[in-house]
Amino acid sequence: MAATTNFSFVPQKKAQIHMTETIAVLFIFFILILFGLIFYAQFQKSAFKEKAEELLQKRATETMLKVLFLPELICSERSLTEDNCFELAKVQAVVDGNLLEGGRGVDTEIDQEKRDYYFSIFSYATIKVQQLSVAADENDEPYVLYDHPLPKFTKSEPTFFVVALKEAPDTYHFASLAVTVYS
Amino acid sequence: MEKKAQVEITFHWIYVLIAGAVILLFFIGIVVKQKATAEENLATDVVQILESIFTGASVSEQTKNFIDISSLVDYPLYFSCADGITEYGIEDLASIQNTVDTIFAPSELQAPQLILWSLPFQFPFKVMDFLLVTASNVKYVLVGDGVLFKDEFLDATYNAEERLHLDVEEASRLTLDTLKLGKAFHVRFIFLDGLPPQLPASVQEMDDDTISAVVFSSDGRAETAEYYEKKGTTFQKMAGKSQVSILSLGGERDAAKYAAIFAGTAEMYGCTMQKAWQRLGYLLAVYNAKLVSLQDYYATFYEEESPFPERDCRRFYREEGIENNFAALLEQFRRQLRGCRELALNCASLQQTAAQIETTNQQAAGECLALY
Repeated sequence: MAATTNFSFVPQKKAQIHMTETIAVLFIFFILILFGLIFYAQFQKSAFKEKAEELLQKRATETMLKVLFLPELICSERSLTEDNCFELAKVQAVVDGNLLEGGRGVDTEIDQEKRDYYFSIFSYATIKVQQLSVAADENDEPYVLYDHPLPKFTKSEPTFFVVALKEAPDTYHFASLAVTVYS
Repeated sequence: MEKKAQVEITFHWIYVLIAGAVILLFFIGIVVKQKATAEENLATDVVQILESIFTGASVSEQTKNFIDISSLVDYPLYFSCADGITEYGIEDLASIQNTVDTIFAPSELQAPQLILWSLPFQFPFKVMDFLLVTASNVKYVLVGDGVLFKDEFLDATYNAEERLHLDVEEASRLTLDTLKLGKAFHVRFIFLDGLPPQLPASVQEMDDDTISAVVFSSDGRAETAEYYEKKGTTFQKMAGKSQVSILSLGGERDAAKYAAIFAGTAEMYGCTMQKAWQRLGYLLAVYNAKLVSLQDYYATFYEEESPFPERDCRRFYREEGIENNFAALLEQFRRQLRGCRELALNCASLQQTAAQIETTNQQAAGECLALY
């Protein structure tokens, strides 16, 4: 009876060892896959972060370019336009009428359409013009042309450019154009 | 016992083979998925780069950009515009929508080089830059004897360096049949003095898709462009909308007229022009505000009624000034523009008011401050 018990026990133990070995191999295999996935996820995460930063910088440059050539602001004399120059009268008109953010009209439907229009040009951004002439008071408030920061933004990218601010046909001031984009 | 071991070994190998095949399939699946994703990413990147190039090109006034896209020569680019939204991209792979920029392009392009040309649209002040898009393998044939515009367009598109000029050829009705068109992806005929009675013999054998025509005509007041496509051995009006009005103040490098040459269809032209009218409306608000500041400036400058009313600058800006004063004209322009945005047929009235504003601005610029 004891001999019979011994005879059936040996292959069972062998099979158990074999199964343990298979489980160990599978375990190591899945651990390796897990490592691979973690490594891939980390790599993707940093690549995504880099791409997001790159896109933000690209958007900052593009937005600056769009502002610099905005017909609503640029200096014009009959059919000629002056590069890197904003007309003070237009800047004031845009600020006073809040024109790039839908204006302050009574026709709210058109205002919303206008707001959407300029939002599709500038997206989440802030655009300011600060007069830099020597005579200007240091406490002069900048002209805020567009102020639409992303709620709870995690990163902002400010870009600066020097432009001329034309007050009258022959009167120009230096000004700093600041464009900040958000993500 | 031996037989049992043999069966076990066979099963062991079958198990190994199945497991190996499953693992192999898993990795093949990943590779296939990655390839599809990479292709999609590439197409998206290309479209995003195109968008950046278009943004840069459209703001650089009066410039032509020649973009090498030889690596994309197997992928057709498409352009369309509907309901004020321009869509462009790589067919079936990636596309982008744009509600602001005025892009005039053929419906399809497949070329090694993309040509982007930015022209300012002045109506009467600068509204925005029109971006005219074409490719190195699109040929333009200008037909019209003794029409000044022909020479102007040839001059505008010519560049001494061959790789930097558009493929534009002039022809007369007599030379149309013997025209050598080469291997153009598309040929656009521009008829300046009416559509010829028959399709030129030089294009009769070509595919219908590769030939189109735009016919300019004028009734003395307004100019129109009518779009045709090749159907067998005749030119037929394009399906749907085929005619558009060209609203411009004329002059050299007339952006509105040039845009009609580069737009693939009347539909695209009309749809894109609606974007220009929308922007014009927003710009009017700026010029209205500037007008108020000019009125205030001259109110403090003169303080009281001038003894020489014919020299009083206020006459240009006030309602009670000259007949075509800025205040009245801008208000009229605003109302007409509203009508134009509701119905495209109403847009024709804008042209006369724009011309009047231009005249008043020229008068004002001579002695006072101009509006623009």
